[in-house]
Amino acid sequence: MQGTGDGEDEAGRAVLDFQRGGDREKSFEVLFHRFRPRIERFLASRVFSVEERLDLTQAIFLRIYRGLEGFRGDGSLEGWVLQIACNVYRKWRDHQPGGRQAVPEVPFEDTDGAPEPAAGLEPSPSATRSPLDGIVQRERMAALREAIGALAPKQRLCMELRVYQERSVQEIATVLRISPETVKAHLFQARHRLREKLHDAFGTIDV
Amino acid sequence: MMHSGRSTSDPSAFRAALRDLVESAPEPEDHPSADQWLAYQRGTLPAAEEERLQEHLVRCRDCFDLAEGAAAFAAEDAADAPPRRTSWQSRLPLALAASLFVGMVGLTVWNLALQRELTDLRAPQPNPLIFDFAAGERLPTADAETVLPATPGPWVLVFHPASEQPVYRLTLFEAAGGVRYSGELRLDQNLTLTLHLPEGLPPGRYRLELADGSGGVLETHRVRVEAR
Repeated sequence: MQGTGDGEDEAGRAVLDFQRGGDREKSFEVLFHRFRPRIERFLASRVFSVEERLDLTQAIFLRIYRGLEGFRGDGSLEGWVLQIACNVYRKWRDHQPGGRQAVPEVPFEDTDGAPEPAAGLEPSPSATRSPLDGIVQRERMAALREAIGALAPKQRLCMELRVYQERSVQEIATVLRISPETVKAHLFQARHRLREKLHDAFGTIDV
Repeated sequence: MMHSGRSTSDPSAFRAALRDLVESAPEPEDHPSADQWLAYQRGTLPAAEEERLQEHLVRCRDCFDLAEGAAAFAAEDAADAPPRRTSWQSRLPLALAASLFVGMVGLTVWNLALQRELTDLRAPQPNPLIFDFAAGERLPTADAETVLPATPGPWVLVFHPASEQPVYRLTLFEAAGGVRYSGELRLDQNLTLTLHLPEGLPPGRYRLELADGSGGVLETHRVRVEAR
């Protein structure tokens, strides 16, 4: 069983004790004390309401409690708990009004004042395509591919995560393990370069 | 370029095109495990593996959530971390240590100075040479000369004046006439006058005149210091 420290070792032993016929309550208590701070941190930036955070925490630990028998130790106990927390959170998020968009986001203000469109509301350029439009569209995509490919790797990553995943600057910074200021700088540079190369093809580049 | 003049001012066009571009890439199949995302967030993966995982994030929303969750898990537990101190609290131990250090250094220097002084005081001191100049009934004649060895000081010259005066003036003349010492002396409990010469006297001839308070010469002693 993998672990990242004494606390994980203790939690792992608690699960093993339970699986060998030990006290479920006692083993669960060890896991609860070990992982509660992490789960609270996990939910803190995603769920505004205190009541909903408490409900989700309870739901996550209920899944852990019920799943103790099923933990086989293929991965670490921490990874198993993280996977459960993510699954419970995603299920809750998908049932919120508006789905993913119900989750609070840190706004990225440097967008030339233009409002950020909601996901999926823009009509795809390919929806109303004439033969001439098809040619133009292919040229635009080729220009876009070339311009995106010419960006520095981190600039491209930030731009794609921002546009395709529709993630906030803070979220991008978290997963790329860089500061939000660095993400903003990458986005600024990427926007600047893309405007230079793609202004004729796309006009406004608002990201 | 062909697309020149066919540009759009629709700000969503670029976003839609970029989405199409991203989706045109093959969809990732091998999703990193929760443990891999934890390792990624703890910075324990090789650089190439990190880049692969970051690229994976572009297309995979579930893995993005997992990577974000791993960041929360990998962060240090606030409960495990020591409480944050305010700036003056964090500086206090250092300031106290610095003050203590300065104090200890000062005390050590003072103690060494005291020890040095004590050692000097305890060191054996040379016995002063005592030369007795008798007077009274055995007043020296005009050409009588007392011979003293030219030894290093200190010297103590003791006089026994024949007459008792409230105050005396003793003057030490060099052979050339210069005054080497002149001062007032008073009788001690043994009715003697004592003159301390810390450095002694170099070889040569000297004249000692003992006068009363009004300047009248009471007795004169001739001294010759000889080198040996």
